[in-house]
Amino acid sequence: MDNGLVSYKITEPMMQVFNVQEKSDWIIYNRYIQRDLELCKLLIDQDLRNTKDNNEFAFYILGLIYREEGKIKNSYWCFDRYYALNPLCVEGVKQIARSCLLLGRNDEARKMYLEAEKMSREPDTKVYYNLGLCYLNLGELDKSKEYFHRTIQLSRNQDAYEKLASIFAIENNFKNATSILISASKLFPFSTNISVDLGLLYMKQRDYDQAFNVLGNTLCQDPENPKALLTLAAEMQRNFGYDEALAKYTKAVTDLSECSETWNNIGMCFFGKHKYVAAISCLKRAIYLHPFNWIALYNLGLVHIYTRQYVSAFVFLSTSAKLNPNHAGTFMLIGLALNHMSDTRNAEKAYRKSIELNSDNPEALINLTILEINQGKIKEAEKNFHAFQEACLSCGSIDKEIIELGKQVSDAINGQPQSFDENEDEKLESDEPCYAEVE
Amino acid sequence: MSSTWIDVEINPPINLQTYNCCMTLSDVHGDNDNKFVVVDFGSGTSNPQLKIFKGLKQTHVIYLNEKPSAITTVYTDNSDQHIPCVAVVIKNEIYFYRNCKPYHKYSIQSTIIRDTEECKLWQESEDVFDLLKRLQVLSSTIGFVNLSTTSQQMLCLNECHLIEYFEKYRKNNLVKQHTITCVTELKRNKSEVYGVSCLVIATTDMISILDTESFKILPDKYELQGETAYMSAIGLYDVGYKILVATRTGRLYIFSKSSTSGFKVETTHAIVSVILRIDKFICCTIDGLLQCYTLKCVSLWNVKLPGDPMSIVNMYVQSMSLEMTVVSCNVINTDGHSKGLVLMYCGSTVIHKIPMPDPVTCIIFGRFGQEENALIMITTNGKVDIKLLKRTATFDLCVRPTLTAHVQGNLSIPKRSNVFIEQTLREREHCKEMHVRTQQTWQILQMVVSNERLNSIKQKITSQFLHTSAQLLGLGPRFKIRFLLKNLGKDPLMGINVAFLYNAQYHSIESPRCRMPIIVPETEIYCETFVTCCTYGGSDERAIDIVVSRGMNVIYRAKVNMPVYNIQTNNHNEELNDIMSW
Repeated sequence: MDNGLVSYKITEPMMQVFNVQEKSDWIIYNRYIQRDLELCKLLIDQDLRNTKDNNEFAFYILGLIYREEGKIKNSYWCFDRYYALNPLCVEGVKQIARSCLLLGRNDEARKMYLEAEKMSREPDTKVYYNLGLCYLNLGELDKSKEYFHRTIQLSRNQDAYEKLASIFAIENNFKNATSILISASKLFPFSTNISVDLGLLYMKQRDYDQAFNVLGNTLCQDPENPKALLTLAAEMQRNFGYDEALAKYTKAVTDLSECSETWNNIGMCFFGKHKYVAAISCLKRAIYLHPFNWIALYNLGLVHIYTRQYVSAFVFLSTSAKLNPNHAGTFMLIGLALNHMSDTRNAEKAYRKSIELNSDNPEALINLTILEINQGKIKEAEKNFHAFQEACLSCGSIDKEIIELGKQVSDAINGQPQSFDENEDEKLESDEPCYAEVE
Repeated sequence: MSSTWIDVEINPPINLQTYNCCMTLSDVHGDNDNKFVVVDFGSGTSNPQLKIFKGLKQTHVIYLNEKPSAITTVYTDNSDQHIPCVAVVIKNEIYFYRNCKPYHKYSIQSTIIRDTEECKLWQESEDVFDLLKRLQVLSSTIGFVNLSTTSQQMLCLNECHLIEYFEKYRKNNLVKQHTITCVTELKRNKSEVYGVSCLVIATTDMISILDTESFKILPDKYELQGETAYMSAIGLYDVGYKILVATRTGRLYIFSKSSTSGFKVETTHAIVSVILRIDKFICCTIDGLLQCYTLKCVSLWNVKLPGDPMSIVNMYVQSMSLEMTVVSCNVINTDGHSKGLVLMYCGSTVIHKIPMPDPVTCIIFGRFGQEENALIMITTNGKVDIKLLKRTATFDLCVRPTLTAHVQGNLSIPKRSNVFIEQTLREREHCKEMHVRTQQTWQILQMVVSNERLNSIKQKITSQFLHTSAQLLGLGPRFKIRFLLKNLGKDPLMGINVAFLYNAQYHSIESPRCRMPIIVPETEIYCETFVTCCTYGGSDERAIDIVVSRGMNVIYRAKVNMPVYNIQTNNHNEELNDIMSW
């Protein structure tokens, strides 16, 4: 009977073997970690019935399963039961607090975690980390930083490093954020998340060499990291490396085939390579994926001006202007399109609007000057030309074409008034590669 | 694949339902032939059986009464026969079998509870139901877990057994009984295979070490929070040792001989399994991370597994001096079926893969029979699979970049179509015309809309069905505005709201908005509100707008010019001001 053992009688009569608890706890746990959740729930149900809801571990696992299934309220209830059955255990408080955090009740979660901090005999990094999260969500950045610092001091928690760096980044304290991430990347050399964040941070500080370095290393580890691919590609595109950028985008697009910004950038790469048809289809896809993406609309308008489809260009540009009425370049291009369609009255309005938005706008100024010369308003043209010259001086880099145009205009103003038909082909090549910062 | 492993053909197939902690490979008869010792839990209807396989042949079966939570083998003496004991853990007892015969039973002693509130309750209560009620109250204050096992048992009992139970235990002492959740062996003073081992026992409240020669508990005891799920020990008891303990709530402790409190790591997810090595340990969590820490709990690396981990096991191939981590994963295919994948990690890199048709739940590596390196796997449906490592097998250890077939995914960009070109050309040629046409259409549309709006406003004005008038009562600075409404139409009016718009700089209005009841034809009703003048001056902004609306439509808008109030003269105005409809 006794598992084959007959001898060794229990000497004391009161030493009874109870089989109340712990009987199937380990089986429930084993089933849980082997992801047989349905069977696990069945076992828990059976066990709770046998013990009249008195098995705390069954509630604990049930809570975890509900949390995985997204039923946070049910899981909250389970952990509440767990805590009621075992009120001296910190784990219950921590899990309830975690449920609160997941439910977005940050204040309640904070209170629970503070309670847990009091209860635990030794400093608990998980509690500190989550308190940091609570304070971050509540907007108390200083407290949040303090708790993340404590977490880092106690243990090397990768997430805490990332959060701390992001808080510094929010506060525009890039120096601290960078140093945090550098020390984190030394501790976790295999973490691509940290190195990508570091790369982006360098990018924000316009330290392109370092950014290239870090992101390149990231790509060595994880050749398909979408964030790193996009950032590098956008940077290459900025430096006119269209083919390399396209290769990177092609890799990234398998993961991000529904990202509007990616398609926008791909489209502008094709534009840079003077493949207008491909550019148009990519930009149209970007707009299809995100109809309110004003940058893609603006770019599409630009490409259409290049292909001399002024009507389409006007339509896309005016949509873009409606979505973002503060971008001077859009109005400049609208003016250009209207000018080509001989709608000089509206073209002039558009140029003026553009100049109003950004007074240091040589492109709009020169175009307005040309328009006025053609209309015979020499005086106003002269005034605008002076403004153009000043804008040229204040602006850093100016297209050679514009300077050439400026010379011709100055000849025209000084010399005999001749009509300006030939040099209306002035365009602004300003593609806006905006890289998507995923998440 | 075929150059690395030899598949053992198992015919007829062996089916076993078991868990990782209930398997071991050991030379149980001392005949230099390692047997596979396993607990078969069966389909759940029959009692579990301890089975011993010599090769593929099942040689012994021991029937067990209850489900064991762990088994292990230990050498209990230094005799030349080298026969180990199989230790089977059931609840709070450990059964030792030697040569497949019962040899000894060791029980964890229950602790007797005295002088607590609970004891008083048991002593004072005469009636079982009275006691039950009071115990329930106690349970809700101090928690069920902190009650004695005697009381816990009583709270879980069915009502029909209560009286019997009460009579049986009322005279006994209350006891707290701890069950054993996990055991592992720790060599006493010789690290060779036949060396005598101690047994490290994890109960629900502490870790203790049992001397298997005398069956006495040794003085080293460690306390921790939570129940132990896995345990692993290295070293020698007499020299120095480390015990790694993983709890069910995701905490990891390392206890060593000298220190009583261990370093601690807490994982975010439940732990699937742990492996302890000399200078580091590897832990696998259910979120699919394989993490490696030093014994001071400093993270060394972590890798993401390709699927849900089911179990991990250490694989040490002596001939190659190669230590690997074998991880069995459950990988979901693109068609939604789950398949098994057994990965071998050397450090953080995968050096070998074995695809399996079904997910592997249990896995063990070691000496099986005469074969040094055997891998025994049990899949979810209970099928046993055995693979033997070829003596000529090699593992490619150089880390090479995982070239994933270089996905030269072409961007799917549509080719230019004829229609597109035609449209483009047409647009270029006729752009002015198109633009003018669009602008004209746009203007026409604007005109149509404006006309419609004008018409609707006219209609509203002509169909006057509401007569309104306003009165201003009082001497100031507090006035009363009375706004009268009369329905001139034939149908009753409903949902009329009246709002008073005012400049807060000069006035304050008690209730600036009021909802009118139904207005029956030919009757007059009014609403009124108090206005208080705050400051003097500014005749223009002094007016109060009265807006009558029905739903979203403004029906009337009237302006009441407020008098300039002057304290000295106190000239009271009571006038009906010009009302203009809108």
